[in-house]
Amino acid sequence: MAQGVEVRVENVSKVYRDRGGVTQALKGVSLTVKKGELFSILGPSGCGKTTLLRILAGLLKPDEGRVFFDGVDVTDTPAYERPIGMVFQDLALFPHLSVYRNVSFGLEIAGWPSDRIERRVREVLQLVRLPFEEFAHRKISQLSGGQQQRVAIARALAREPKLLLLDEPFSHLDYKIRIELIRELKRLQRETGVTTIYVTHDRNEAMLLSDRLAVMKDGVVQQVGTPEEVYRSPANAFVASFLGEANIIPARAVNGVVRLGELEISLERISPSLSNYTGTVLLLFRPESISLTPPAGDGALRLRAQLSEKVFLGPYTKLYLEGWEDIRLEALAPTRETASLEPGSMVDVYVEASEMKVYLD
Amino acid sequence: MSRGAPLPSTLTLLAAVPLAYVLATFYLPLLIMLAESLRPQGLSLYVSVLLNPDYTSIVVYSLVLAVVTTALTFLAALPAAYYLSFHVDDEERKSRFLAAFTVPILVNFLLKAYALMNVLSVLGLANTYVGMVVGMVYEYLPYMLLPLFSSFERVERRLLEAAQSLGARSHHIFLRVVLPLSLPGIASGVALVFLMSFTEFIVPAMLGGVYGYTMGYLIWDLFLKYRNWPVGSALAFIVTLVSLVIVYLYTRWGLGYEA
Repeated sequence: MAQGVEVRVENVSKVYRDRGGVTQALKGVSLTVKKGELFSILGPSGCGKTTLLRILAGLLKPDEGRVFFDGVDVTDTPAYERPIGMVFQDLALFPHLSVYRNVSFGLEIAGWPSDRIERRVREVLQLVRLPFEEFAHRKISQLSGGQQQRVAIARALAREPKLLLLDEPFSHLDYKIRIELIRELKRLQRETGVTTIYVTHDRNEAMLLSDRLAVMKDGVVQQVGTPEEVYRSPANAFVASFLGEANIIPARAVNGVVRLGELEISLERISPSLSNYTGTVLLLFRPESISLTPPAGDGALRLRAQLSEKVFLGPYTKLYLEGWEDIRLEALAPTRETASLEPGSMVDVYVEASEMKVYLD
Repeated sequence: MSRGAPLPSTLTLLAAVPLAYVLATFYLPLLIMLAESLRPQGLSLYVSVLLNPDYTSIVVYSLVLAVVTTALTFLAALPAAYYLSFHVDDEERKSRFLAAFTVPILVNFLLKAYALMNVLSVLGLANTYVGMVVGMVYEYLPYMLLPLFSSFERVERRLLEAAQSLGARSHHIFLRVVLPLSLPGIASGVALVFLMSFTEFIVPAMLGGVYGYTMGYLIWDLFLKYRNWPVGSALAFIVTLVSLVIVYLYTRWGLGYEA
């Protein structure tokens, strides 16, 4: 069984220069991916996530910083000497070769004897659930999108890489096939133990897949953590809104107290270090943190707002609320609790202070 | 005019004009020449031409020259096209390089040939076989370079990265990815240069001295010097047939792969 490497990135920066000018793709990125971990790099397009992946692959050299595999500096090691497998966004399968020859490509170059190559091709095709007899001798153009995807993964795994890199490999597939492939990727990764780094802009993919993930924006890592940590305790308003829907309310704090209409919120209840803070802040909480019934205890804030719209989503109903000073909120409540609410009416909603985050603007 | 009859569309008419032109100026005269070559003795003339070592030796000589020219042109164009396509990243520089290689097509050949003659005589290569081959390669290089370059340009760059990620070094990538994917372009460059150099006679005549008596020259002589139209046309048709066979083989081989 292939054993994964630990990947350490230290202070990596990359600038792209062309006639159009200079683009800073990565700014001092540092992170560590553990041996055998399934790690996602999540961010909007242009955040530098693909650049980082290409640097890990050795297809691109960083301007500054170092990359280590198991503590060995590989920054100057070319891609063909790194123990990697890569799945590209557009797959990059060889159109002139059969499924078999695509998968065996790296093995032929490594000089494996042909009987060993055949054994390995059978093994990896089985691993990605493509029956050898049916698929091995097909042309790439004779496969469906999902099957091509599986060939790309099989090809990347054939050499028993210690690091598997995937660049938004499922982005052009249907939702259902995508979910299926993600679950399979997870299974494969557990079976092979290969350290896996998965780049995506889709938070659902990242959450479904990852042991841990890094959220990136503008070439900077915003936060690293388990999906739950990053969702529940986002490091900043960007991470919060990128990981899920969030109510973000700009407000002004005076001596640690925020006034919103008739409501007074003492920041001390959310974050003790802000007890005397004066300045602008962002208050943040998830739609599902709003409840329609007062919770037990006295930790909850009561907000009075007008219900402007109700959207039925099956088990849950989304409520659009308008509060003081044009502040709009979204709430997600169990449908059975919302039956009696009519648009236009005033409702009391509650948010526990512990569910609320505050960020300095 | 009968309203019910379908009128030929304007488009059909427009297509018919050049077709009629080609028929009148190419195929019809060609048929006349074919009849001319068959008139005195029928096919037995063709047989006697093919059996005449004076003629066949010149045909073989020209074939060898065409093979040598094509091979050298290919070897010269390959690294240049490869470098241009894969190692010049800046698009503007790329098109400037390409222009430098292809502008000679636009320059009148006599001008080029006399210019080259000066260079060759300084080097002591005027009127030699080597000098003639240099002239042939010089003349046909752009025709090889362009199809090679454009087929390299069509190779998806991501495939090279995929190959690298699978442990391929540049020579692996060239042999296993770039070359097989560029076969159509290579085949068209090779076929084009081969066919043109096979029938070429100006370059050998000007630069080859005694080595310059190729088949094109022979046909020229048969028509204009000896006024032997039947043998001249027979020889020309044999050459055309050989060319057609090559084109046929090329379409079978070169277009065999489709992505």
